[in-house]
Amino acid sequence: MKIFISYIFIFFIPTFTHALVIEDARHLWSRTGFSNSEFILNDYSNYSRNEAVALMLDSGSYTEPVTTLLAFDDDLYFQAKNKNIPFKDRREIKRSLKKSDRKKMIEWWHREILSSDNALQEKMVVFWHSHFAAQPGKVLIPYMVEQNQIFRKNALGSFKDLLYEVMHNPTIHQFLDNTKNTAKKPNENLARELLELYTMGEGDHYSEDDIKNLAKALSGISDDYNTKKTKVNYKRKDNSFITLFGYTGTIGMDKAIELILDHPNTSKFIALKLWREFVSSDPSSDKLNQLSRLFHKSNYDIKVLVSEILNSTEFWNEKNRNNMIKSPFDLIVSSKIIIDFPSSDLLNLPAKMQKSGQKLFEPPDVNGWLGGRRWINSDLIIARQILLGQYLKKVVKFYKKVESNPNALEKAVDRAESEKYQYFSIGSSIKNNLNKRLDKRIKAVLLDHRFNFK
Amino acid sequence: MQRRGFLKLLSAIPLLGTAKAFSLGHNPKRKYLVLIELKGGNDGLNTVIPYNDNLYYENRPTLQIPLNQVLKINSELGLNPALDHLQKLYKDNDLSIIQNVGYNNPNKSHFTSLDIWETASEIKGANGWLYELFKHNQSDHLIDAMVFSGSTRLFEGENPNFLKVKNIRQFVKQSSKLKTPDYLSSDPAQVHLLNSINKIHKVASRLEDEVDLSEMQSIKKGKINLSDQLMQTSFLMKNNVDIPIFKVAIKGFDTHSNQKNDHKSKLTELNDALVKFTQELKSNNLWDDTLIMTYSEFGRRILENGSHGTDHGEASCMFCMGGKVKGGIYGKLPDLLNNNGNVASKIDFKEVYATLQNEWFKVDKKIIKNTPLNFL
Repeated sequence: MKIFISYIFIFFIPTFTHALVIEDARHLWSRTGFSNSEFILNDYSNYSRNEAVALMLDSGSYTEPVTTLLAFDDDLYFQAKNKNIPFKDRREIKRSLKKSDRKKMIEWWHREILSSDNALQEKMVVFWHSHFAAQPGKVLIPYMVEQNQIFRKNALGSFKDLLYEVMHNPTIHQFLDNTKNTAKKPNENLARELLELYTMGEGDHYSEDDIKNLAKALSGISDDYNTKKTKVNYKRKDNSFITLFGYTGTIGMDKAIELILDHPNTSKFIALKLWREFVSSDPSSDKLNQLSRLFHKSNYDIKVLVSEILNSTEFWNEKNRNNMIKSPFDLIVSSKIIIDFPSSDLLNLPAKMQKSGQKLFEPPDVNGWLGGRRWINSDLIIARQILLGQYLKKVVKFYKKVESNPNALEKAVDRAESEKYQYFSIGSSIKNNLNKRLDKRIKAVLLDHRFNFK
Repeated sequence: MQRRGFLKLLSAIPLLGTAKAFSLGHNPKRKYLVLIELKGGNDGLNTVIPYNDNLYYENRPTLQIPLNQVLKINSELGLNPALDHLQKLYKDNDLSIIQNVGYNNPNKSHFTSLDIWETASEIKGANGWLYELFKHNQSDHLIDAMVFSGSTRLFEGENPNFLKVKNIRQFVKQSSKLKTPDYLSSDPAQVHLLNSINKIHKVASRLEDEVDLSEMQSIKKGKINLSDQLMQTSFLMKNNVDIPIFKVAIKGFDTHSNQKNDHKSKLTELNDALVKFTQELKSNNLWDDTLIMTYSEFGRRILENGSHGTDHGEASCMFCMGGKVKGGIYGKLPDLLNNNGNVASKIDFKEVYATLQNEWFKVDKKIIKNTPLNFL
């Protein structure tokens, strides 16, 4: 018995108290987006694993956008909604607004990604964007930009607040036809996806009747451009008595959200999805239940959940390291450890991201990006190489021209050739690259195939 | 060439050594399967219209296809007016229409239902059914499938043998710049990357050597539409490239609102793409060697919703086309009265798969046990 206990001490305690070694530091920071990388590179050995997780999560606390938010031509948007203006003209206004503002919106986020030091927050914004996936086809652009701010504010906050605010923003109502869902003419598109994709996950824990009833609870909702929020039109709302997850009465959207959040599968589904974002192997059912209970008890505190995931033995297990495939977003963000990309000129980054399979603000469908292995197929591998290779070439050209950044390139080359930075980037060091061209010396690291993994 | 040297090197690596006999590979003449995924859940009732059923008109007050526009194929059924090419194929006995296709305990989630269709299994994470079919019947093709668009699930498994390519010409051009890693790792994610790169080089160098890609019609930049996908398919078929299955897709069938125009334009796109594709195959003497099949994750509700659209439903129709198809209608008229507002499934999609397995691929080891239909 005594021997057994001492074994536990030897193998168990040190993981919580000992200082981080470089392998640990790289693992934690590559999975979370390389926030604070400069600091970590120099200081990791002063922290234990839990301290490092706490520090990293603190660094991911809400920060306001660094770049200026977009301004929209409100007059035109009001005209587009003004029923006194002939339908044909309104449609034309809408079209031209979409054309110009969609581009502005996409460029704004890419600029923000390149400018922000809070990579973890951006990473979580991408995560929630993929979770509550919407495309701008049917949605007014200002609503999507507002939705992005909701993801930002609640990125590591409360899932309860996040869900509530997302449901009170018109984006997903317009995207999933819910603004057309009325008492007389039900439309169950949003009701189904709210349960299947946003909260409970697909399965036996809800029925087709639940979906029909939830559609009634979500009926009569339209958008209000003044507030950028939803509003309820009680004449169009289905006020009949319905039963949803054991509760009977007249149910509106807020009550429905409350019932959904009370359901144990909601905390479980979100816990599993976040686990898969950070850990390469699935949790045991015991572990998942524990996480789900904790998440529920913490009043859906995302930070508490993520902290528990990052402190799990599974996260730190050697077998679970360096074997997740980076998304195109991850590729760009993690390149920043070597080279600071300019944000004043995006150098066609959005188009290259799109070819690599991740067009921000335009996820493939309502299920978002599936990620994982699906980031790599024959088409995408090539696009990823172009994303980094050609983009880097442009960046180098850009820096050479811009005098205010004389040191940016030298710094990048130094980093690309430093063993420590190489280790943080690709988990290994590579032979010195004696090529004269600067972009090739930086590329040697960023185009190494190991750079695809985190 | 750099790449050829690399290929020689590859043959020494056991990873790729899967060259075994496959009954199909030894046939003197190739056979092709072309799968068309209609993404989003195609409305069967407005595709093949039961134009004599009063319930159809009652349930579709704004979405019904007017009787005088229906392209009648018999005394009960007619095609959507956008599908005049299919009407012609039907008259030529080259089109079989399979009615009320679905499966038991239908799932109305796009993603789960598509998985069920593509894996022929309700087990989450199951391998694609065509992956399983080729695995058990030892394929020696260059690759088993090329996917131009949509889901690749059909061909996914432990050691997949397909490529996803949007634009062949660009693929070959760009792949020459793809670096080959000089290290190997046993981690599954890294092996996945290495295998994918190896497969790219293998196929690209074969295409470079054997096919004059400059003869292929050029594709406009941007989105690759259905007609572009099928054009590339017929180009590879004409050039006798050893790929037995091509998978293409067309988006936009999830018609919860504004179905009238959206559905019409999607079916028109399908019809027009098939006109060109049929011509190409016929003029190259490939029509008899090709089976074209459409599928979709589910059909739509019988009753239209309030947004001039239809919500997720159950069974729908499938089209199988080609020179060897026994034209006709398989299955009864859809029952619009019962089953909770849904078209009930009467033919399991696995019966259609069994037909492909037994009568088209004619493999020894059957992985689908259902009784085949007799449209081939």
